[in-house]
Amino acid sequence: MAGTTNKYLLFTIEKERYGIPIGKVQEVIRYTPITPLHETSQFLKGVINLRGRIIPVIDMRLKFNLPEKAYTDRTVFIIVEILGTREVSHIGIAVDAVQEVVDIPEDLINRTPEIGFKFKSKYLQGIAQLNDRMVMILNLDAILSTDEVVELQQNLTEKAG
Amino acid sequence: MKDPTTVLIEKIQELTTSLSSYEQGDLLGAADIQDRIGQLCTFLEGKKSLEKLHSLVAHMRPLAWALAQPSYEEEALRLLQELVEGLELFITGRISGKSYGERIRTQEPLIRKYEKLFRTTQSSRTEKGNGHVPTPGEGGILNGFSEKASTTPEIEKTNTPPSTAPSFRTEEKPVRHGEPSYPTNYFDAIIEDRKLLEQFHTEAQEHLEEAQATLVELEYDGTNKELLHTIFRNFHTIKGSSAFLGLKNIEETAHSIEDLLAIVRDGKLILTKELIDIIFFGMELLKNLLDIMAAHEYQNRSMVSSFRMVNIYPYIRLLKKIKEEYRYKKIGEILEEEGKIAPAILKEILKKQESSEKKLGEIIIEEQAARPEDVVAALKKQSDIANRLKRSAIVKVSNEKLNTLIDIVGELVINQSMLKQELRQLHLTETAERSISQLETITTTIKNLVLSMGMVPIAEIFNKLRVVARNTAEELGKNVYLEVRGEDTELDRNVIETIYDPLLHLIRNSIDHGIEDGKTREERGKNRLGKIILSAEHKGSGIEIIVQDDGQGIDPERVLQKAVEKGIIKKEDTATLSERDIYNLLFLPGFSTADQVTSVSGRGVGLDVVKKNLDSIHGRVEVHSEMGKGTCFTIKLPLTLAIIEGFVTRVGDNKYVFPFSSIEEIKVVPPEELYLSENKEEAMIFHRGIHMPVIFSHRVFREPQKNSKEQLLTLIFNFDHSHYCVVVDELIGKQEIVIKSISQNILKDCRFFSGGTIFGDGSIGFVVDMQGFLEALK
Repeated sequence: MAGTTNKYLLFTIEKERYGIPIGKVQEVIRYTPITPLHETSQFLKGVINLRGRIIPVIDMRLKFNLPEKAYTDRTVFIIVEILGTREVSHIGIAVDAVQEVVDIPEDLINRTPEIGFKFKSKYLQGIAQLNDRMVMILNLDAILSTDEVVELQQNLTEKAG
Repeated sequence: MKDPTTVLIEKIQELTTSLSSYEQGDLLGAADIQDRIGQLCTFLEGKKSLEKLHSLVAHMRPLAWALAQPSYEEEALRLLQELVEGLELFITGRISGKSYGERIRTQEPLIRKYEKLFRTTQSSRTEKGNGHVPTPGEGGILNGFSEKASTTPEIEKTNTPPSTAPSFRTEEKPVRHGEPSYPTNYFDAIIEDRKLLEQFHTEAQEHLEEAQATLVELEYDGTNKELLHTIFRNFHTIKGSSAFLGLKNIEETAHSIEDLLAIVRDGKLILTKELIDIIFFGMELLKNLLDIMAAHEYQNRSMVSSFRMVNIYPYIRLLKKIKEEYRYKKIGEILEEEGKIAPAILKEILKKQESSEKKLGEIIIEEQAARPEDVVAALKKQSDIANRLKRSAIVKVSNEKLNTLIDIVGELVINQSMLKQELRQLHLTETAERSISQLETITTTIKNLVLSMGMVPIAEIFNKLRVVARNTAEELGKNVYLEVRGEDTELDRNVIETIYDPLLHLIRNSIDHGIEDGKTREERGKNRLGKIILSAEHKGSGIEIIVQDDGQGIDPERVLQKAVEKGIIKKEDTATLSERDIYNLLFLPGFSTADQVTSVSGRGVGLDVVKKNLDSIHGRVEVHSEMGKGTCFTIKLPLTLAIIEGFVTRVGDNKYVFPFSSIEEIKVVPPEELYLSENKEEAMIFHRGIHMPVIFSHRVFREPQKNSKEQLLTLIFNFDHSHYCVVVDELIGKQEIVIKSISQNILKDCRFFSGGTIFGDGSIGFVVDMQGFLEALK
């Protein structure tokens, strides 16, 4: 029996490709003006008004401790649903660009190697090779429910498929 | 969620209500009372620990039945009230089982008397001994209409009395005395035609079934003319055909129900739930009579002997009473009834009225036929009856719809206030101005109406807490009396749901840690009986709920000691804490002062749950305690979660909304009035004889601050008995603000926001929580 296939939304941050399960995605919107919040963590840019709801926006570049990039009208916000400790909340994440929705068969997703990898394994659901390019499947609940900046490790070992 | 004791208390309270409304002349209540006692009985049945109660409640049944007998009515009511009141006191733990037992014992002879009466009117076996004849006393209403155990012809096959009979039923003997007295020739007209009788039986059954279905629908839609006509026709037909066949008892019963329905149909009487129950009761009675016919295979003689056993008169009398009571009476009638005017004079006056334009009351006064004040009193009575007919019906709406409605109305309020601001800037004609004000009035009215729909009286949870208090006290072997005040205070449904747990914790805590055991209390010169006051009242724009005990109080020293032991604070910091700070330590997770972990509390999870729950609805809790005297927890809650009166300001780049209720005034502070501290960090002003700190809100919100060389725009706050002067950049104005929740991710960083709001132009503002705002400065 072939395993199941799930749909993932792919996006890029700093030329790296990431994927999140499409079920987590509520919608993708163009850049809308952000009401800044000053008192909060650095990567929490502020809040936006999404059809009468107040949604916080997190800048993924800052979350991953990458240099900040000014928002352009190319910037997109992906509105995702995350399971917090006490509630399900909607949060916008600012990413460089959204690419496409792809089907990834589950047996193509490998467990994250323990060492020498970009993130601590708890932030990753796995890694998949797609058309000779690596996609990191993020565990958004784990990433967004921490207050810390998720440190990327510099000694990235290129893995050839 | 609902433990048996809670259910029991609810049931008893319902019964108390029915009794008092019956006393106040709501005669429909009789069936209601019988019904409720029946329900109580069913509820208690088979519960081992409640056996005593069960037999007691079973003893109440004859009393409830006696309510429908005019000659016993008063005494039975008094007795019932006595028993039920005692029962409630006992269940809620205000008197002991022993003293309740004593109360009952004094009434025993009377109770016996009614039992006897009840038994003698109960049916017995017929002479032939084939078939048990049910009566409305035991079937029908007492089992809530659903069980037909005692009304089906099945009884022919068995000789056992129906299981629904109260426990004091003795072995049935054919009781022949005390039979209802039908005139000897009453049943003479019944025709001897088996076929016709059988036909009638089938037809009547069908009509009753249809009536039953219709009645169920009428419960939801009591004014539906279509349905009323249907059910009226059912009884009308039964009446007609039974009259034709000479079944006088069936005819009279159906006739009285038909009359009642006629009044309802003409809109002179509202079909309340009680009334529906009464009609159901009558239908059971008719069914019983029809069953008798079938059971005796339509043989006249045996049928009639059973018919004689079933007394239809109490029911018919009850209906008559209702019709009298609920009819819209004319002034003249009322005066005549009360003996304020002689019938002969009234006749004359009525004649006069026919040829005059004047109202009857006026003529009566002119003619000096009755005293003016009597006429006024009669008018009042008349309008009372009319008002009773206009009882407001209740419509059920789903929670979801109501919440959506509240949201939408919130939007409406925002949009309206935006529109007003926009339009005021254009120079409008007077008519346009008027329209805007009108629009505002309408919007506000809608808002208040919608908000009040979401309000429920706090009694809902106070009643549950009574039980909690009693059970906890029992568990711990303490004597505690819970005094409840302000039960009818109304607040938001969502708020009520959230505060139940905190209050439960506080009450259990008070009983466990606060109230000492009886012996210790006596030694300390206190009343053996511990007292807890639970009260709710409106204060300002919010609600204040107090849980106060007269126990041993909380020792601040011990709290400190514990906090240090648990590593919550450092020893060297203890000296700097005020008493209030010390008590606030109680609300930290993992804190508990109980020396041993009891089953009730002492695991240190109680009070932090209290705080957490209250935080989620923008409520606050404070403790005041006096050693040896007691402890008082004060909970302050917003009235509603949805909309607040806010004062909109701009600080730096953003809009911030302060709660309008704590703002005293707006003040422009010239630079020379500002007293700066040595390091230029802190400032103060002297205003209206008070020194108050100046707070630059930019520092809290981390907004860029402009040069403060010029005069400062400030808001003077009075919060928690202290004054503060808060500097902002711009005042935008007072607005009704719909609070939108902001994800917890943000709020844990910004304790000074209770939420956000969206203005009419789509921009976002932040709603400030004063408590958090002031704490952020520390």
